[in-house]
Amino acid sequence: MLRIGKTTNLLLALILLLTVAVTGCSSGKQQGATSGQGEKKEQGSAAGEKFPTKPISFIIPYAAGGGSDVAARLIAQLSEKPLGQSIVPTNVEGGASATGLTQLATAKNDGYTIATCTSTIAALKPQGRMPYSSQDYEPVIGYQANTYAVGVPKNSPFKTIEEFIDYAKKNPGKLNVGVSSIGSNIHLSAVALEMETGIKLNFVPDPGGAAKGILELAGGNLDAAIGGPNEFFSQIQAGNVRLLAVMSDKRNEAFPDVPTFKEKGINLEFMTIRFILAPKGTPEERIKILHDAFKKGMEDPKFKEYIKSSGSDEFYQDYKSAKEYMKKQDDYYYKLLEKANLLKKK
Amino acid sequence: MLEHLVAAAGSVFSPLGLLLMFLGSLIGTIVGALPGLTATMAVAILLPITFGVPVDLAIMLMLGIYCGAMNGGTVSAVLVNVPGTPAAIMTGLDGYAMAQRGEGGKAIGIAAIGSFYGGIFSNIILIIFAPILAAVALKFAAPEYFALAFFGLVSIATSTTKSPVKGAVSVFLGLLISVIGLDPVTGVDRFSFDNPEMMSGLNFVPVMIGLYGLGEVLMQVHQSEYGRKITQQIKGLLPTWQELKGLHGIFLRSSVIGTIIGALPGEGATIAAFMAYTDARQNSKHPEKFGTGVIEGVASCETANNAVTGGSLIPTLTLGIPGSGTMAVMMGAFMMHNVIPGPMLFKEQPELVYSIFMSLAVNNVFMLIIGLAGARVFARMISIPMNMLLPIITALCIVGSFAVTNTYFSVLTMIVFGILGYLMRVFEFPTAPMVIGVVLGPLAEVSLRRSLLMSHGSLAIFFTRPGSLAIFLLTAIYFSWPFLKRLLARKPDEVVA
Repeated sequence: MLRIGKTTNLLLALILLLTVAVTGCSSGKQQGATSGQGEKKEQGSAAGEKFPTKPISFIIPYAAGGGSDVAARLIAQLSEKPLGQSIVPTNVEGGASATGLTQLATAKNDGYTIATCTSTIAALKPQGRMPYSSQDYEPVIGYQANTYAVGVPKNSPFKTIEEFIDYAKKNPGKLNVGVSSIGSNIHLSAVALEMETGIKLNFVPDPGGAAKGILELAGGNLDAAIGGPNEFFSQIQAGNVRLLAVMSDKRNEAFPDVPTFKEKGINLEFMTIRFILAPKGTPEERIKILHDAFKKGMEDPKFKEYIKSSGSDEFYQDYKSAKEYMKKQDDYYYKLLEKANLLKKK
Repeated sequence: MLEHLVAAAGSVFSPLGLLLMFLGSLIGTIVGALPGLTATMAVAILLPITFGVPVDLAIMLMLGIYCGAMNGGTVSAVLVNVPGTPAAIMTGLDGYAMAQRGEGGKAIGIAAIGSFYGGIFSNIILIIFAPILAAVALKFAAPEYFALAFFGLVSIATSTTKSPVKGAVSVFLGLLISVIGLDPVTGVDRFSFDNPEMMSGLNFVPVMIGLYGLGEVLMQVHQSEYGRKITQQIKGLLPTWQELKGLHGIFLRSSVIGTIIGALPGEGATIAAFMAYTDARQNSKHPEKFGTGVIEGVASCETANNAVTGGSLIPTLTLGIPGSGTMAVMMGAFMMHNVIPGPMLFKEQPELVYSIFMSLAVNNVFMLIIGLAGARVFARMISIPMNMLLPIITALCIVGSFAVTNTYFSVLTMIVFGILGYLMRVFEFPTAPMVIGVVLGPLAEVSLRRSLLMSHGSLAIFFTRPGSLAIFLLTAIYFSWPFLKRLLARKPDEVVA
């Protein structure tokens, strides 16, 4: 009754094999990240011991294919050689990176589990989306910065950022400005713009990111949009959109004609940084070994090329200064979230 | 132009290029057939590997995966009613019914031919009309998207179900599920019970795997006797020429739908498949048979979801705005190779554009070959006895849902929706409207609220903009057409009576 043809048997075996193989690529290397859960945290071993002796598990708390995923996978790939061990990326997405970062916080602090994060980490705890703040981790390195720009349609009456701000001052809440979802970095950068200039804008958020806002901007359906300079790129080339100002500390290489807010005398500098983190209590000598390897990865021409082509800014903070930097960032984000009325109500 | 064409053909038809595309189609078909693994994921994981490869070869491989996955999703939808990709949900309705009659091979064959048709059609449109369609897409803003989503939600009431009330209940259930998570416009918590993972909303893929995969398994257990086979015999392995000729109209209309939906940035194959199915049903002489295993049902959604592949290249290449999730990843690959997709691409790198067009066409040919050859093989899988097949599907559901986010929360989501799917089957509530509710819910909500933010609260925005007004009017005409037709036809009778 249960006789199955040879072909069927073979097929079945093949399918099962393929399933395991294919899922193995994306999820098989999970153990490193989760094996520490529930175990007692222990300090790494004495100095001078060889590290690393096995592959490093690298949590990417975002979906495969996004900007943070691409950057993290690239730096992991380039840092494997200097480290002398493979670095295995795993995407653990959910909760705007809270799921993956929570997993890191509870992982074993032996240096074999690390994760990438963005400045978003500063917005999670105050909003009640994660019990950990940046100070509950050990930063390894800050490796990349992204900034945002304010764009307007080609036929917009605003030729400069001053004109834009003047109009917004006289007409509070009147200008429709496309941002990504509320509480995201792009939205908070817009809140920072409001805070520093005392204007009020009407935000039109899209949870899919800045892309839709920029498209609607190009079609003349919005007064302005905020997004990464590279996201505006093709529409600027096509002549549909102009940039008024960028929020970085110096002008963007791809747009040398666009002034910074600082140049215009507006005290606005907003950059989101990508860091690599280790669990709290990871031994400093191991952090240093990891840091040195990632530093070498950063110096690879391929990474520099990527920074340029993705419209990002070069950025570097070593493991010592990064902690202080993140603390300052936490405080600034707290102020922004307070202004946007997004703090978790107690 | 000719020299660019020749240069592009040189790389596309090189042995390495052909090999990469065939590999891509094969990987794509496998990834697509396994629930939980998506083309987006496969492309993203391959992305770092392509850094060292010339850009045109990298793109060929990725397009292969993209096309293959669309086709692969069909196989599991037809054979075991577990769609491998969200785009194949509608295929399962009729495809699975056909497989139960022993016509699984025919369903897969029709799907492959429909996909080929849709793929080639959208490719031709892409070559000729890309710049014009891009200009139209630029006019689309939130109000137009809301009108489109509205059309989709309304049309659920008329399709996929015998009882409109149960269909409506199912839709609203889906809409309710879609509001879980942080409010996209105000950031307020909704139904997340302070669970950080629920704050970003329920991931759509585990929901689908649960509803279709585990729900179906539980239902089979509910109904089955030990050792019963799903089908007794396999017949009609491939569709006949006569059948294909009859499908010509559906192929064409579904291709148009798929290409248009694909050309709208951010829209996807799932919605295209759904709309094509509704359209085929609406225009059919026997709409009541839809859902019981008619070839038109399979042909319409499969043609449309593959027509999206060419369509979604339109906004990606011409506007620099990705037309789908997979396209977003591919755009990342372009940028990494210093190719900036956008209006200037056609002027600055025509060679690359032509090689993209050509490799898309070649990939469609490979997909047809794999699909037709596979139809014979895959159809045999159905003779596996239930007591072996069901545990395998269950294992696939668990592995697949875990792979989506690499968290156990996804597995839990899958199980909860599996039980819900089982209960819905027992009480004869259709599941497809619920899934469509989950897919269209966020689009409808966000675009409605964005529109109202743009208009500072005035509803007039939907009727003063020509685009959204036209879509709303078309919706009204489209759904009253059967009644209008009957009224017009009845008039002479009444005179006689």
